[in-house]
Amino acid sequence: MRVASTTLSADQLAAELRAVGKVGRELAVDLQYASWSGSWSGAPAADVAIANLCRGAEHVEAAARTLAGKAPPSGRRAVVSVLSMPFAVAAFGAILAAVPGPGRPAVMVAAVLGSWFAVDVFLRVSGAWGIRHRPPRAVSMSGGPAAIEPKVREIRDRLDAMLQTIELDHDAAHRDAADQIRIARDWFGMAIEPPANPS
Amino acid sequence: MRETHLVVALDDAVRLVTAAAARLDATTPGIEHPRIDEARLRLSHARDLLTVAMRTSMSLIYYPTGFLRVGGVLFQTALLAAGVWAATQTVSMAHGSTTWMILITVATVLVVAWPISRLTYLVDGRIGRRRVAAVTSRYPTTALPPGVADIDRTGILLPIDPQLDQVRGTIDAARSQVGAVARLYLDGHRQRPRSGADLGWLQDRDNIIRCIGEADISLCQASDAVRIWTSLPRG
Repeated sequence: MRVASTTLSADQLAAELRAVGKVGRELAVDLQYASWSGSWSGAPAADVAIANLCRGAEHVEAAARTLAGKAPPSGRRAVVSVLSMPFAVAAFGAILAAVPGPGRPAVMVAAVLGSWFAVDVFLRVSGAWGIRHRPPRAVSMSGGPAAIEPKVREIRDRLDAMLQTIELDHDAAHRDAADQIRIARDWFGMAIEPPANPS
Repeated sequence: MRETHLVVALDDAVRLVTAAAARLDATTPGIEHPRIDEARLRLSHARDLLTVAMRTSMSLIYYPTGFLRVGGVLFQTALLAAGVWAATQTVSMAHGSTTWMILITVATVLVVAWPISRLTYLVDGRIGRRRVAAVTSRYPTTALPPGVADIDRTGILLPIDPQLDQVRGTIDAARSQVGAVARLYLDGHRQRPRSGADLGWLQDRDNIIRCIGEADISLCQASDAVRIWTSLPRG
């Protein structure tokens, strides 16, 4: 996804930065997988690339936090955590409604434990559902640092596009974010081409 | 027994990281540079993560997925039941209505939920530490590679760069061991990953492999921080 040349809001910029950070971390994990799954002789591979992809990701994530605060929970986990509270209340109410004369301590304890178990089972079932419906097994790049080069260049292009659209005179948060993006861009660059004399 | 092998292998990795940190400290006394500070911090972080992975693999309370084991379920429900029982008995003795009893029950659950969760975490940590210590004391420690175990104090007169190369060599040895631990863990895993994307998916759902993966990244960053520092022009 390319950033449009129009000005983006802080939330849009933060979302794009988080997406870039995610790609950086995925590339690092891909290199880890290549190291762990291959026959390892001598020094472990790709330490420079893994280190700098994650440093870059840390800085774009910091820029996103500067612009829009902590990332909201997303996907299945957010849905599950939102649903678990009403689920607990419904189970608690259902148990009290089913028992004649609920105003006794033993019934209250049973209702609380019943709703606790109901939520626990709900969470476990949703976890098992998530495993059953895992995304299709993507093909790993697993070709070492050279294979990730086009992806890293794409990340840097996206960061360049953001630097062109970010309004530096908007406020201090935008200026700080721009600084973080520039630093991240350098780290991502070092993942594929470590400079002779870095700073 | 798979957990035992995992803990012994993780312990070897922790000792290598500790050796790398000690060697870095002995080589860079008084050097305050962002990259050297980063190397120290990342090594410390890697050691913490590997220690958490050891404790998690020996936990009697949590599965690596974060769900409670039977022991954890019994522990938490016993505390919750005791809290609710005590509160509702008080209302019952004061001849409170059913509405009051429900309100007090809900309030009690809200009040005790966080302390119970925190107490479970603390108890889990304590039990995990004891079980890890029991395993590591039962098995003979693997000898560290030559040149890693002891810091050669006579080498203090050597130029700093060769000494930092030894630090990176020790970090490489630690990474090799972390990789061996990862393979040991993943080979027996029901959700064994077949690609990097699979591994990332699994790291979101399994605290042991997440800690191992993050420790590996920290080791990469420590090694790279040392590499950057040694490549800086010095006058």
